[in-house]
Amino acid sequence: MRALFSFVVLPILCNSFGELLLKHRLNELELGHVPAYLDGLKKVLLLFFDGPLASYLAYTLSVMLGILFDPIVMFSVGTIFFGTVLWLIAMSKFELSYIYPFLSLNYVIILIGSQLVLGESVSLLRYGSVLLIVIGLVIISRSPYFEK
Amino acid sequence: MSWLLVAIVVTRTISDIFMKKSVNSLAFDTMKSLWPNTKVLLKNPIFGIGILLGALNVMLWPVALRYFDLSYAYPFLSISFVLIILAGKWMFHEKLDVYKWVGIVFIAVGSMSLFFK
Repeated sequence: MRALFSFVVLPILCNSFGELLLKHRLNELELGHVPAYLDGLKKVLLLFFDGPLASYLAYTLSVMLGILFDPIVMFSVGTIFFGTVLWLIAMSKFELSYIYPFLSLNYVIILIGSQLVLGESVSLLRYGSVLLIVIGLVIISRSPYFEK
Repeated sequence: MSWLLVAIVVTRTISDIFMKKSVNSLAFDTMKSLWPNTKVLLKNPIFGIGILLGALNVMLWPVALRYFDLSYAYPFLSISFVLIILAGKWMFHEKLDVYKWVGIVFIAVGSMSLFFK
Protein backbone atom coordinates (compact mmCIF):
# COMPACT_ATOMS: atom_id res chain seq x y z
CA MET A 1 0.00 0.00 0.00
CA ARG A 2 2.85 2.33 0.88
CA ALA A 3 4.63 1.41 -2.38
CA LEU A 4 1.44 2.06 -4.31
CA PHE A 5 1.31 5.57 -2.86
CA SER A 6 5.01 6.39 -3.28
CA PHE A 7 5.49 5.11 -6.81
CA VAL A 8 2.03 5.26 -8.43
CA VAL A 9 -0.07 7.97 -6.75
CA LEU A 10 2.79 10.36 -5.88
CA PRO A 11 4.19 10.53 -9.45
CA ILE A 12 0.70 11.26 -10.77
CA LEU A 13 0.29 14.08 -8.24
CA CYS A 14 3.80 15.39 -9.12
CA ASN A 15 2.99 15.30 -12.82
CA SER A 16 -0.37 17.07 -12.68
CA PHE A 17 0.92 19.60 -10.10
CA GLY A 18 3.98 20.27 -12.28
CA GLU A 19 1.93 20.75 -15.45
CA LEU A 20 -0.56 23.09 -13.75
CA LEU A 21 2.22 25.15 -12.13
CA LEU A 22 4.10 25.30 -15.45
CA LYS A 23 1.05 26.56 -17.30
CA HIS A 24 0.22 29.02 -14.50
CA ARG A 25 3.73 30.46 -14.63
CA LEU A 26 3.76 30.68 -18.43
CA ASN A 27 0.48 32.59 -18.37
CA GLU A 28 1.92 35.29 -16.11
CA LEU A 29 5.51 35.30 -17.42
CA GLU A 30 6.40 38.67 -18.97
CA LEU A 31 8.38 38.22 -22.16
CA GLY A 32 7.84 41.68 -23.66
CA HIS A 33 11.07 43.22 -22.41
CA VAL A 34 14.15 42.52 -24.54
CA PRO A 35 17.05 41.11 -22.52
CA ALA A 36 20.51 42.70 -22.79
CA TYR A 37 22.14 39.72 -24.46
CA LEU A 38 19.75 40.03 -27.41
CA ASP A 39 21.98 42.60 -29.14
CA GLY A 40 25.04 40.38 -28.88
CA LEU A 41 23.04 37.41 -30.11
CA LYS A 42 21.76 39.47 -33.04
CA LYS A 43 25.30 40.46 -34.05
CA VAL A 44 26.31 36.80 -34.17
CA LEU A 45 23.21 35.88 -36.17
CA LEU A 46 23.84 38.75 -38.62
CA LEU A 47 27.02 36.95 -39.68
CA PHE A 48 24.88 34.10 -41.05
CA PHE A 49 21.48 35.60 -41.96
CA ASP A 50 20.12 38.85 -43.40
CA GLY A 51 18.77 41.62 -41.17
CA PRO A 52 15.04 40.86 -40.71
CA LEU A 53 15.62 37.14 -40.39
CA ALA A 54 18.39 37.72 -37.85
CA SER A 55 16.21 39.94 -35.65
CA TYR A 56 13.31 37.46 -35.92
CA LEU A 57 15.57 34.55 -34.91
CA ALA A 58 17.13 36.55 -32.08
CA TYR A 59 13.68 37.48 -30.77
CA THR A 60 12.39 33.88 -30.98
CA LEU A 61 15.53 32.55 -29.28
CA SER A 62 15.34 35.11 -26.50
CA VAL A 63 11.69 34.20 -25.85
CA MET A 64 12.62 30.50 -25.71
CA LEU A 65 15.61 31.13 -23.42
CA GLY A 66 13.52 33.44 -21.24
CA ILE A 67 11.01 30.61 -20.80
CA LEU A 68 13.52 27.79 -20.29
CA PHE A 69 15.69 29.62 -17.74
CA ASP A 70 12.85 30.92 -15.60
CA PRO A 71 13.32 29.41 -12.09
CA ILE A 72 9.65 28.45 -11.64
CA VAL A 73 9.53 26.87 -15.11
CA MET A 74 12.66 24.89 -14.19
CA PHE A 75 11.11 23.89 -10.85
CA SER A 76 7.91 22.60 -12.47
CA VAL A 77 9.79 20.71 -15.19
CA GLY A 78 11.92 19.25 -12.37
CA THR A 79 8.77 18.15 -10.52
CA ILE A 80 7.47 16.44 -13.66
CA PHE A 81 10.87 14.76 -14.15
CA PHE A 82 10.92 13.59 -10.50
CA GLY A 83 7.45 12.09 -10.99
CA THR A 84 8.68 10.31 -14.12
CA VAL A 85 11.57 8.73 -12.21
CA LEU A 86 9.17 7.49 -9.48
CA TRP A 87 6.94 6.12 -12.24
CA LEU A 88 9.90 4.17 -13.71
CA ILE A 89 10.38 2.54 -10.28
CA ALA A 90 6.68 1.66 -10.25
CA MET A 91 7.06 -0.04 -13.63
CA SER A 92 9.70 -2.34 -12.16
CA LYS A 93 7.64 -3.10 -9.03
CA PHE A 94 4.13 -3.62 -10.43
CA GLU A 95 2.61 -5.21 -13.48
CA LEU A 96 2.22 -2.53 -16.11
CA SER A 97 -1.36 -3.56 -16.89
CA TYR A 98 -2.25 -2.91 -13.24
CA ILE A 99 -0.71 0.55 -12.86
CA TYR A 100 -1.23 1.92 -16.37
CA PRO A 101 -4.90 2.90 -15.90
CA PHE A 102 -3.84 5.06 -12.94
CA LEU A 103 -1.93 7.18 -15.46
CA SER A 104 -5.20 8.35 -16.98
CA LEU A 105 -5.96 10.10 -13.66
CA ASN A 106 -3.50 12.73 -14.94
CA TYR A 107 -5.90 13.74 -17.69
CA VAL A 108 -8.80 14.10 -15.28
CA ILE A 109 -6.85 16.08 -12.64
CA ILE A 110 -5.32 18.37 -15.29
CA LEU A 111 -8.69 19.02 -16.93
CA ILE A 112 -10.40 19.89 -13.64
CA GLY A 113 -7.34 21.90 -12.54
CA SER A 114 -7.30 23.83 -15.84
CA GLN A 115 -10.86 24.90 -15.19
CA LEU A 116 -10.70 25.59 -11.44
CA VAL A 117 -7.11 26.81 -10.94
CA LEU A 118 -6.17 28.31 -14.31
CA GLY A 119 -9.65 29.55 -15.17
CA GLU A 120 -9.69 28.05 -18.67
CA SER A 121 -13.13 27.55 -20.16
CA VAL A 122 -13.47 23.79 -20.51
CA SER A 123 -16.48 22.77 -22.57
CA LEU A 124 -18.53 19.64 -21.94
CA LEU A 125 -17.26 18.35 -25.31
CA ARG A 126 -13.68 18.55 -24.03
CA TYR A 127 -14.62 16.50 -20.95
CA GLY A 128 -16.15 14.00 -23.41
CA SER A 129 -12.91 13.90 -25.46
CA VAL A 130 -10.83 13.21 -22.36
CA LEU A 131 -13.32 10.55 -21.21
CA LEU A 132 -12.80 8.75 -24.57
CA ILE A 133 -8.99 8.93 -24.16
CA VAL A 134 -9.24 7.56 -20.60
CA ILE A 135 -11.52 4.69 -21.72
CA GLY A 136 -9.07 3.93 -24.56
CA LEU A 137 -6.10 3.79 -22.18
CA VAL A 138 -7.93 1.51 -19.75
CA ILE A 139 -8.99 -0.86 -22.59
CA ILE A 140 -5.41 -1.00 -23.95
CA SER A 141 -4.06 -1.82 -20.49
CA ARG A 142 -6.46 -4.79 -20.29
CA SER A 143 -4.73 -6.43 -23.25
CA PRO A 144 -3.09 -9.75 -22.32
CA TYR A 145 -0.05 -8.76 -24.40
CA PHE A 146 0.52 -5.62 -22.34
CA GLU A 147 3.22 -6.84 -19.99
CA LYS A 148 6.58 -5.51 -19.03
CA MET B 1 1.51 28.04 -33.84
CA SER B 2 -0.12 24.60 -34.06
CA TRP B 3 3.05 23.33 -35.78
CA LEU B 4 4.53 23.43 -32.24
CA LEU B 5 2.11 20.80 -30.95
CA VAL B 6 2.65 18.69 -34.07
CA ALA B 7 6.43 18.98 -33.57
CA ILE B 8 6.02 17.88 -29.94
CA VAL B 9 4.00 14.80 -30.93
CA VAL B 10 6.43 13.92 -33.75
CA THR B 11 9.59 14.32 -31.62
CA ARG B 12 8.06 12.29 -28.81
CA THR B 13 6.99 9.49 -31.17
CA ILE B 14 10.26 9.25 -33.13
CA SER B 15 12.30 9.53 -29.92
CA ASP B 16 10.44 6.61 -28.32
CA ILE B 17 10.72 4.48 -31.49
CA PHE B 18 14.48 5.14 -31.75
CA MET B 19 15.01 4.36 -28.04
CA LYS B 20 13.09 1.11 -28.41
CA LYS B 21 15.04 0.23 -31.56
CA SER B 22 18.39 0.82 -29.86
CA VAL B 23 17.68 -1.13 -26.65
CA ASN B 24 15.69 -3.96 -28.29
CA SER B 25 18.71 -6.13 -29.10
CA LEU B 26 20.35 -5.67 -25.68
CA ALA B 27 19.85 -8.03 -22.75
CA PHE B 28 19.76 -6.32 -19.34
CA ASP B 29 19.66 -9.49 -17.27
CA THR B 30 22.30 -8.77 -14.64
CA MET B 31 23.88 -5.68 -13.18
CA LYS B 32 27.12 -6.82 -14.85
CA SER B 33 25.62 -6.17 -18.28
CA LEU B 34 24.84 -2.56 -17.37
CA TRP B 35 28.19 -0.98 -18.32
CA PRO B 36 28.85 -2.98 -21.53
CA ASN B 37 25.31 -2.21 -22.68
CA THR B 38 25.75 1.48 -21.87
CA LYS B 39 28.90 1.54 -24.00
CA VAL B 40 27.03 -0.08 -26.89
CA LEU B 41 24.23 2.48 -26.54
CA LEU B 42 26.57 5.46 -26.44
CA LYS B 43 28.13 4.36 -29.75
CA ASN B 44 24.74 3.89 -31.40
CA PRO B 45 23.74 6.97 -33.45
CA ILE B 46 20.07 5.91 -33.36
CA PHE B 47 20.18 6.15 -29.56
CA GLY B 48 21.86 9.58 -29.75
CA ILE B 49 19.20 10.91 -32.11
CA GLY B 50 16.52 9.50 -29.80
CA ILE B 51 18.03 11.34 -26.81
CA LEU B 52 18.34 14.60 -28.80
CA LEU B 53 14.73 14.45 -30.01
CA GLY B 54 13.62 13.70 -26.44
CA ALA B 55 15.50 16.76 -25.18
CA LEU B 56 13.99 18.89 -27.95
CA ASN B 57 10.55 17.59 -26.95
CA VAL B 58 11.06 18.69 -23.32
CA MET B 59 12.29 22.14 -24.43
CA LEU B 60 9.39 22.74 -26.83
CA TRP B 61 6.67 21.83 -24.32
CA PRO B 62 6.92 24.96 -22.09
CA VAL B 63 7.03 27.13 -25.23
CA ALA B 64 3.85 25.49 -26.53
CA LEU B 65 2.11 25.97 -23.17
CA ARG B 66 2.69 29.69 -23.59
CA TYR B 67 0.31 29.67 -26.55
CA PHE B 68 -2.24 26.90 -25.87
CA ASP B 69 -4.73 26.06 -23.13
CA LEU B 70 -3.44 23.25 -20.93
CA SER B 71 -6.84 21.54 -21.19
CA TYR B 72 -6.29 21.41 -24.98
CA ALA B 73 -2.55 20.77 -25.30
CA TYR B 74 -2.21 18.00 -22.70
CA PRO B 75 -4.86 15.60 -24.09
CA PHE B 76 -3.59 16.42 -27.62
CA LEU B 77 -0.33 14.61 -26.81
CA SER B 78 -2.21 11.31 -26.52
CA ILE B 79 -2.09 11.10 -30.34
CA SER B 80 1.44 9.81 -29.82
CA PHE B 81 0.02 6.76 -27.96
CA VAL B 82 -1.76 5.79 -31.19
CA LEU B 83 1.31 6.43 -33.38
CA ILE B 84 3.64 4.53 -31.05
CA ILE B 85 1.37 1.48 -30.83
CA LEU B 86 1.04 1.39 -34.64
CA ALA B 87 4.84 1.73 -34.91
CA GLY B 88 5.13 -1.20 -32.50
CA LYS B 89 3.17 -3.32 -34.95
CA TRP B 90 4.85 -2.24 -38.20
CA MET B 91 8.44 -1.83 -37.03
CA PHE B 92 8.80 -4.27 -34.14
CA HIS B 93 6.11 -6.80 -35.11
CA GLU B 94 4.40 -6.53 -31.73
CA LYS B 95 1.02 -8.22 -31.37
CA LEU B 96 -2.03 -6.01 -31.73
CA ASP B 97 -5.06 -7.77 -30.26
CA VAL B 98 -8.67 -6.53 -30.20
CA TYR B 99 -8.11 -4.64 -26.91
CA LYS B 100 -5.41 -2.50 -28.48
CA TRP B 101 -7.38 -1.82 -31.68
CA VAL B 102 -10.48 -0.78 -29.72
CA GLY B 103 -8.34 1.32 -27.34
CA ILE B 104 -6.60 3.01 -30.27
CA VAL B 105 -9.95 3.91 -31.84
CA PHE B 106 -11.19 5.43 -28.53
CA ILE B 107 -8.00 7.49 -28.09
CA ALA B 108 -7.95 8.57 -31.74
CA VAL B 109 -11.61 9.66 -31.69
CA GLY B 110 -11.06 11.33 -28.30
CA SER B 111 -8.04 13.34 -29.42
CA MET B 112 -9.57 14.25 -32.78
CA SER B 113 -12.71 15.55 -31.05
CA LEU B 114 -10.47 18.01 -29.17
CA PHE B 115 -10.41 20.06 -32.38
CA PHE B 116 -14.08 20.96 -31.97
CA LYS B 117 -14.70 23.75 -29.49
